[in-house]
Amino acid sequence: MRGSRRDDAEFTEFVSQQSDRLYRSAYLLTTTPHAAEDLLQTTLAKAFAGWRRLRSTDDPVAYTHRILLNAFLSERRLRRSSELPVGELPEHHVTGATQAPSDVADRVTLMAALAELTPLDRAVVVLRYWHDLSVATTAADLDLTEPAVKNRTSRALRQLRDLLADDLDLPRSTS
Amino acid sequence: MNDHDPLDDHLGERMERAVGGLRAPDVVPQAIARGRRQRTRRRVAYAVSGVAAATALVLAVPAVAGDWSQQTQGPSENPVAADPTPTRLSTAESRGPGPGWCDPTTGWWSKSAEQIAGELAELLPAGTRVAETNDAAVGVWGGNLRTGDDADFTRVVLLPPPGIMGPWRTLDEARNPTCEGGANDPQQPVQPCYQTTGVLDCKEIRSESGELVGIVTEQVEHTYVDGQEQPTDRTYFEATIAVPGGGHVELYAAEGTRADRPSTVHDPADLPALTAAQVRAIVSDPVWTS
Repeated sequence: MRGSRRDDAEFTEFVSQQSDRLYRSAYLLTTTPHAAEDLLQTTLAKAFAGWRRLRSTDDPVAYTHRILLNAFLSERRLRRSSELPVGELPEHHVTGATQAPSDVADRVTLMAALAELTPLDRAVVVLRYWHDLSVATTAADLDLTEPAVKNRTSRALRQLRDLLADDLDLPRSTS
Repeated sequence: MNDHDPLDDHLGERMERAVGGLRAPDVVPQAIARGRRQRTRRRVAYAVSGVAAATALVLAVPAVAGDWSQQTQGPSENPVAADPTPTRLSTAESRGPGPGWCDPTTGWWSKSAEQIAGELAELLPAGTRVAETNDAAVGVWGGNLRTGDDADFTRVVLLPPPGIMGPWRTLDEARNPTCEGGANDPQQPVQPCYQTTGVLDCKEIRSESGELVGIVTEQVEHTYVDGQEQPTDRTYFEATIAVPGGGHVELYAAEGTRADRPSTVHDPADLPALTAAQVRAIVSDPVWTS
């Protein structure tokens, strides 16, 4: 098998294993299905373009998530727009049998709340709570200091607690 | 985390519940198409800026489809037209002079940069000229083609046969070539059109004996941001032809873009600088076989 075809096959195999996780991360970052799809496509295009280098790294999965994160932040900077509309339900991307209606409602509510955060705060929250990364790793991935990550996390959680208070039956922030 | 928030206990779980059942849409074909174009643009950028990179942009062709069977061993033994299989039969490896073949002194790489550029210029339609070039080493030529003042993106790429030192070689290596180069895969593999996917059109280039030696495809790139298609240079032709010994020649001609933002803003009134027929004629011209 020649190199390019082997590359395509390896890349396709890699994507088949990782794309759902990447898409979910993209969804949380962008909060809309269209934007998540765009971000996924951008990420995979970059990954494919650098596939030979990427596959030789110690952790291609982490590297690809880093591409996604950078693409998200870069796109946010280019657009100079901090918020995205969250007016549509994303059922067409959902595997019908895998999610209950309550989960779909959860998603709409959560995305609306996440959309209220600044993109960087949202990225902090996604890395800390979705990827379960440490403060130090999150800081490194976002090129922030650790105190900055803690501050942004605290601020984001305060916002989310207010936005989701009714939904989660949590006390509203007093600050 | 230092300052514990009650949401700490819920957020991860809440996120998982919200998106855990989502399946990714199939964007792999589009992503691969965009990724290939990014690779191509990198090659062009490297070559035009004179960077010695393994994927530099170069031009020259030691092959003609019509004379193929007379110049190489094996093609008539396994012509795609007579014996199509799902495997890639027409790679240069399969029809080269044989395993271990390498001749660093005879081929496009033995021509001067001026000779290569001159030969290419004679193949171009009226109004199209050779633009930025990279003549860093003997036998190596790289550059773009330009029509008028348009910002169309057109380039020709030579990928030397496996074992031949390519455009990334040093000047000394170019003067004293050896068989120590690597294999170079084309951006677009030479394969039967029925095996290509995601293209608007595909035409095969075959030798007189019927062997598949190249293809010309018409493709469209769609870029979406927030569900809105972005006006980039979308339609393009890409031609690949395999050359004796295992090398490939590729020509890429993209739909025009505005000169002030050449990589981002599509001009809907524009067309690729070369037609599919012109692209095909250039890559398969006999001048590259001599």
